[in-house]
Amino acid sequence: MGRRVHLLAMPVPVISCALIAWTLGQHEAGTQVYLEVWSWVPSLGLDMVLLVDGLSLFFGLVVSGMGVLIFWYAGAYLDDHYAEHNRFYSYLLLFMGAMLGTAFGGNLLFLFIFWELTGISSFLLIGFLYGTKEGQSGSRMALLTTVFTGLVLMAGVALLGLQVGSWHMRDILAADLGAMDAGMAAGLLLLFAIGAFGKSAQAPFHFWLPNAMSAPTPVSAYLHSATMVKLGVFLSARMFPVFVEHELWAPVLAGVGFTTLLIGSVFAFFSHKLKAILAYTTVAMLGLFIGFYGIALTTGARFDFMHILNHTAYKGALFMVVGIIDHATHQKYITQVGGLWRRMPLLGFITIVCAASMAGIPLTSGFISKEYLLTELYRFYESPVGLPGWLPLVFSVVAFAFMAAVGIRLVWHIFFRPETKEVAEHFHHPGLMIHLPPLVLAVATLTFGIFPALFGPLLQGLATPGLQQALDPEYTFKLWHGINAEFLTSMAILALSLPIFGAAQALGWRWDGIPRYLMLDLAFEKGVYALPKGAARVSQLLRAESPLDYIPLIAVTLSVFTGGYLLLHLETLHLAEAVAALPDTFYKQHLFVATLITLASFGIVLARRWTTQLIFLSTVGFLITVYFVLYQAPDLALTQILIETATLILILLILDRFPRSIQRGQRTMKRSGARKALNIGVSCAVGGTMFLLTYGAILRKEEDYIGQFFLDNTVDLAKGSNAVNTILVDFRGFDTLLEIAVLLIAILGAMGLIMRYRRNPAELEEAEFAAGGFSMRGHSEKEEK
Amino acid sequence: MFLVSALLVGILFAVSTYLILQGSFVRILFGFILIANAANLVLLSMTGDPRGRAAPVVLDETVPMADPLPQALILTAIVIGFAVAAYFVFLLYRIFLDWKTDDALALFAKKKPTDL
Repeated sequence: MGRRVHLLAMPVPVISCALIAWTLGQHEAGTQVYLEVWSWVPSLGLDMVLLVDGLSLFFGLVVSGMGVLIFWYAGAYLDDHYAEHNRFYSYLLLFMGAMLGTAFGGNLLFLFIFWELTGISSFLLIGFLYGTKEGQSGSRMALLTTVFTGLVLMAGVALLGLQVGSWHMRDILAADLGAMDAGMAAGLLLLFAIGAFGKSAQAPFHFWLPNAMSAPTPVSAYLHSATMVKLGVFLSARMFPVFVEHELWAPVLAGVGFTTLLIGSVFAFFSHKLKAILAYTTVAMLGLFIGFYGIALTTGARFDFMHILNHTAYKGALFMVVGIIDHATHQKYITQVGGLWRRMPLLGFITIVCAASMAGIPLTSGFISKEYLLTELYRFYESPVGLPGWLPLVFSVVAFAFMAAVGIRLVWHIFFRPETKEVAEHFHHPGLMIHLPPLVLAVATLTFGIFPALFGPLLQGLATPGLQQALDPEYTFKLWHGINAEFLTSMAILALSLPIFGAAQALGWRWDGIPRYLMLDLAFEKGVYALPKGAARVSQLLRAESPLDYIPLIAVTLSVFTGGYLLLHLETLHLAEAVAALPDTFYKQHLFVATLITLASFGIVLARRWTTQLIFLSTVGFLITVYFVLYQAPDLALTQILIETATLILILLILDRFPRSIQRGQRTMKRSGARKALNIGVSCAVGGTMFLLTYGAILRKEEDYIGQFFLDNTVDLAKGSNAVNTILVDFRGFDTLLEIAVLLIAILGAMGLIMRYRRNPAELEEAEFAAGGFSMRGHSEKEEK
Repeated sequence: MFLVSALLVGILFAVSTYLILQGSFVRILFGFILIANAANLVLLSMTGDPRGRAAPVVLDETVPMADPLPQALILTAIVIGFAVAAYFVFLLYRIFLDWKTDDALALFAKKKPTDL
C-alpha cells in the first residue's frame, strides 16, 4: 500500500462522521439515551454502555469531523517525507476509536479505560519518530504526565463509583455530593479536577503539550489541539452536573483555568518555534474553557459548545498551516520564515482568517465567541462565586490581547515581511490538495462569523440536560449587539494588542524563546532521571547486589517482626505449662530421634571436609524418615528414603569432580570473629522465631480440618484407600503434573549449565580442575590422545 | 511432644541458616537441603497429635487416622526440593568451572582468585 494507505483509512472517519450526524438527526434535543450494549465484567460493574446526549454527540462530531480533515491532510502531508504510513494510520485510527469511546462512554469505568487508551495512542503518535530525541522525550513526558494524572482520576472514578454504588452514568450523574462526607466530596472534586488538568495540560502540567509537538503535524493538529487535549474540558462538562454546586468547583477550575490562560498566552507570545506558539495558545484556550465551566452558573453553562467549536476550527487550521509551511520550507521557527504571501497567497488567506478569529476580529467566529465569553465574564464580575470577580475578567483581557498580538505576528512575520534566505533556499510548493482541509475550516470560521444565526439550531440540537441552560428556541445569535460593554472591551483588547506587538517589533524579538526554567519540562526530566537513581540508592542501601549481606538483613527482619510479635504474645503459647507437662506426655521415641537429628545437624556445621558434611547431612535425612514413621506417614518415609539416596549419589558424583584442596575446605576464605558472631546470632534468632511459629501453629489444630474431607471421600470419589496417594494423583492431579514439569525444567537447566561449558586449553593441563565426563573433555582424555 | 517437634524445627532452621550464611557454596547447598527438610517438618507438625491414629489409608472407616493433607504437601515438597537441590549442585559446579572458587565472598567481591 505504501503512501496510498490513507485511502484505506479514510472511510473510517467519514463513515463515523456520517453515522454520528445521522444519530444527531434522530436524537431528541435535551435527552440522554443509554444504550446498554454488553455486560463486560458484571462482577466489577463494568458494562459497555453508550451514552448519547448533546455532549457526546458534540465531541463525537468534533472528533470524527476533524478526523476526516486530518486524514485527508495527512495523506498529503506525510507524502514521501515519512516512512511507515501504515503504522501512522493504525495509531491514528486507534486514537480515534479511543476518543469516540470516551465521548460516548456511558459507564464511568468504561469511559476511563478509553480515556487511558487515548493517552497511550497519543504516546505512540508523539513517539512516531522514535529515532529522534524530541520524539523520545516528548512522548515519555506526555505519557508520564497523562498517566500520572490518569491514575489520580482513576482513584476518583473508583471512589465515586463506590460512593454511588454503581458506575453507570445514569447513577453517577445523579450522585448527590451533599449527602456524602464533606472531605470525600472535596476529595472527589480534586481528583477529577487533577485528571482533567493533566489531560488538558493545565498549569502546572502545561509543560507536556509543547513537548508533544515533536509529533508529525497532523497529529499535533488532531490530538494536541482539536481533540485529545479537550478531554479535560469534556470531563469538566461531563461531571458538571455532579460537581458544580460544590464550593470548590469555581475556585479550583476557574482559578487554575484562567491562570493557565494567562500563562499560556504570554508564553505563546514569547516563543519562536511555530508549533510551540500554537501549543501555548492551545494551552491557554483549554484553560479558558475549563475556567469557563468553573464560572458557569450552577443552573448550567451557556454557549459552551460554540466556544469549543470555534477554537477547534481556527486552531486546527493554524496547525495545518504551520505543517504546510514546514512541508514547503523545512523551517520550524517563525524567525526563519518570511515573505510567503507572494508564493502562497491561498495559505496567507487561510492564515489571516484564522489568526483574525484567534484575535477576535469581527466577521470571524472568534469575534462572536469572544463577545459571548465577555458577557459571561462580566456576569461573573458582578456576582462572583468562590474567587474575586475581577480575576477571570482581567486575566482574560490581558491574555486575549497577547493572543491577538500572536495572531498579528503570525500573519505579519510569515507572510508580509521580506523573504528570508532560508525560505528562498528551501521553498517548494506543496500543492493544492494539502490546502483544502484548512481552507474548509477557514471558510467555516468566516461563514459562522458572518452568519452567527447558524449556531442557533446547532446548539439547540446539542442541548445537554444538566450541562446547559435551556436555550430559548426563539433566540438568534447576532453579529451586532450594539455598542455595549462587550464590544468596547473587545475593541480595547485589539487596541491593546497593537502596542504589545509594536513593542516586541521595536525590540526586534531578540530573545531566545521562553526561559527553560519557566517551562518546567527540564525539572520534570530531572525528576524522571532522579527516580532510578533514588531506586539504585535504596537497593544499594539494602545491599541488593550482595546476598551475603542481605540474607542476614532479611533474616533479622523476619525474626524481629514475626518473632518479636510472638514474643510479645508469649503467654498465648502456654510454654510454661507445656514444659511442666513434658514428663507426662513424654514421648521417648520422638525425643530420641529428634536428639539424633540435632546431633547430626551440628555435625554438618562442625565438619570441615565436604564428604564428612555430606554424611552428616544424609544422616539427618534418613533420621527424618524415622520421624515420618512416628507421624504415621509411611508414604513420606518411603519417598524420603528414595530421594535421600538419590541426593546422596548425585552430590557425591559432582563433588568428586572438585579438587581435593577445595573438598577439604582449604580454599574458603576465613571469616572474621565478628562476622561469625553475627551469623550465630542471626541463626539463633531465625531458629527461635521458627520454633515459636511452629509451636504456636501446632497448638491451634482445628477440629474441622480440610484433610478430613479427603479421608471421607477417598474411597467413594477416587476409588483408592490411600488418601495421600489419591490427593496427589486424583484430587490434585494437575498440581502433580506441574510438579513433574518442575523436575523436567530443573533437569534441562542443569544439563544446560554443564553442557554449554567449553573448557579452555589451560584448564585441560591441570588434572585437578579438569575432570572429564558430562560431555566435557577431561584431562585424562587429553593424555590418551 | 509438640514441644519436641517445634524445638527440632527451630534447631534445624538455626543450623541451616548458619550454613547458608557461610561463604562456601557447598555449605549453602547443604544449608538449603537442610532447610527444605526443616520446612517439611513444619508442615508435618501440622498433623497435630499422631498418637492413637493410623496412617491415612482407609481400610476401616472407624479407625481414627492422621491428617493426610500435610503428608501430600510434603510429598510434593520433597520431590520439588530434590529438583531444586539437583539444579543447585550443577549450578555449583558451573560456578566452580567459571570462577575456580566455591567461595561466595570471593565471587561477590568480583575478583577471580589467581592462586589456582
